[in-house]
Amino acid sequence: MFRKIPFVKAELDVIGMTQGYARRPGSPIKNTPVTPRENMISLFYDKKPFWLPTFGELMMTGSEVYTNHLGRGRAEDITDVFGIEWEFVESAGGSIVRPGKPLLDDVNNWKEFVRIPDISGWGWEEEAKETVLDPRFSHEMSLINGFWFERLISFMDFMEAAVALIDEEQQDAIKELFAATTDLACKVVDKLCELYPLMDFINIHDDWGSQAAPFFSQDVAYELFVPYMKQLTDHIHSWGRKATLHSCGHNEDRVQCFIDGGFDQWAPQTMNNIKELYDKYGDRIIFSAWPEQFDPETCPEEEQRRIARKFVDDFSAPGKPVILSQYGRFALTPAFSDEMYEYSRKKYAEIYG
Amino acid sequence: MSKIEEIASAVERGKAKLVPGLVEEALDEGADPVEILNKGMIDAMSVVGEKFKNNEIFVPEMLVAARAMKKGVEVLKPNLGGSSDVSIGKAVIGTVQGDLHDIGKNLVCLMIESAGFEVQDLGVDVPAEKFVEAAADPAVKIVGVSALLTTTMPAMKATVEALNAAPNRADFKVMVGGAPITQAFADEIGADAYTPDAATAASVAKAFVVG
Repeated sequence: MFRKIPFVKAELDVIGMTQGYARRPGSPIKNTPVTPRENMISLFYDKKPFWLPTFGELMMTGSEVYTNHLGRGRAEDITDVFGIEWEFVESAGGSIVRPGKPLLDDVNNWKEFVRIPDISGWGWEEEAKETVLDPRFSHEMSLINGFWFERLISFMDFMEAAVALIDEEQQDAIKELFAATTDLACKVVDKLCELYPLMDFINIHDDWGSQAAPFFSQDVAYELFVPYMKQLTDHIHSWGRKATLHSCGHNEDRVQCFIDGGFDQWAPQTMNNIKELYDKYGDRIIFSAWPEQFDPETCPEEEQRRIARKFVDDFSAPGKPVILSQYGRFALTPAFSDEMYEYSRKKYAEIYG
Repeated sequence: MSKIEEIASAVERGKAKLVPGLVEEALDEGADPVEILNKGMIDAMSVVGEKFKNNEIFVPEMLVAARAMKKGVEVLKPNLGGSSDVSIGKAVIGTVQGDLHDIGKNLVCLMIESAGFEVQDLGVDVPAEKFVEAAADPAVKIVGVSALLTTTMPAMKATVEALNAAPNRADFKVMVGGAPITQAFADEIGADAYTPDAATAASVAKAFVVG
């Protein structure tokens, strides 16, 4: 809960480093008057953060039990529980299904080829016992993906999956399949919430767009995806957790679908107009935003500080907090980081105090 | 509405089940098969491409339109008589080595085919020498090279360099595309054209061949 605490310079002292994620280095931990977790909870629940946090303060956690069985996010080739072969592409840091061997050519046949797994014996409890979460931070179970469009693509290859979305003869079967995959997702959420009391966020993935545009129309989104999104986010909320969304692509025209699907936060990629999104929707969904580009090698410190202040000013309307996106990672020099923290601390104390 | 307009409308709306019948009806009524192809199908697909470019329709609608056209062409082909070579040239298209992404490449294949080309899809993860080998076919007028990852841009550069060194280089144009690709990069690596989307790729390819 927010309370007015005047900023003091000692808050800028670095008292440690966060654990890195996905082979990336950790970030410096500042000497904050409340923990980053308390700040994040205040941001999400009261919309009153103490400072503008970075993506690193919402610590990403992965479950190998999940990725071993559902096939994404592992730094190795893997065959998932549905028999889909995922190839890890080292240079891209992600996995993809090599096209050409689809499991399904018609969604109506899904029950013949797809068996929804029983997840209970996958070793969740053992993994949770070995996982230590730092209570100073909010934790987000990441890479929970592959229930809707991404899953359909993995079963059919992209082209057939896309056509199926507007094929009246397949739409009912898609709904039936998504109902089943969403039930599976809810069971995964149950496991995570039962075993990780410190896990405040569940990050759901479903990529909806290319560099230029969404893959499918808003009508398709509302007909085939939003109801299942809502079912899953309602389930996450019933556990007192927040639902965050990873959806790559130029999807700014679909943000209302994400809001109606119940997501609390979306981290758009940089081809989306983040300022327009923020101004229009920032009171209904929390965005991960980024500042204007600069080259940390050549940009003078004063200019970096100016950019930090402008970033805070641009994204600090009352009740519309943001998180610094991982796409703003380039900006995290000591000067930018300190200025963003100090300036937002003072500004938020004024706004919310 | 004339029969050819009906065909165009059915192609635009992706009515694959309707198009073959409409083409047959048009032929029965004595319509010129070449006109059916050009006005009823290729022009209709240009409209579809424009709508796609303007985000009025999306990938599924474009795909079903291309499939509807294909069904119509199957009926039309035996009726083209002396104009039996409906292709305006051959295009070979693939995603570069190390890159498994096929969405953009597939859309370009469809749109270029719909513009009247014969298309050879080389698939994904295609080594440079495979592009060169395919481009050696004298019928090839267009070589399309796709990459989605910034990390596979060097493979695109190597592919275009290999194509530029081919002895028959004057016989075909090299077109590149993909999310990280820019006009500047295309110029730097010596491609003939960069296009940002499938519809533009089809119209640029056509302009290269028919002027």
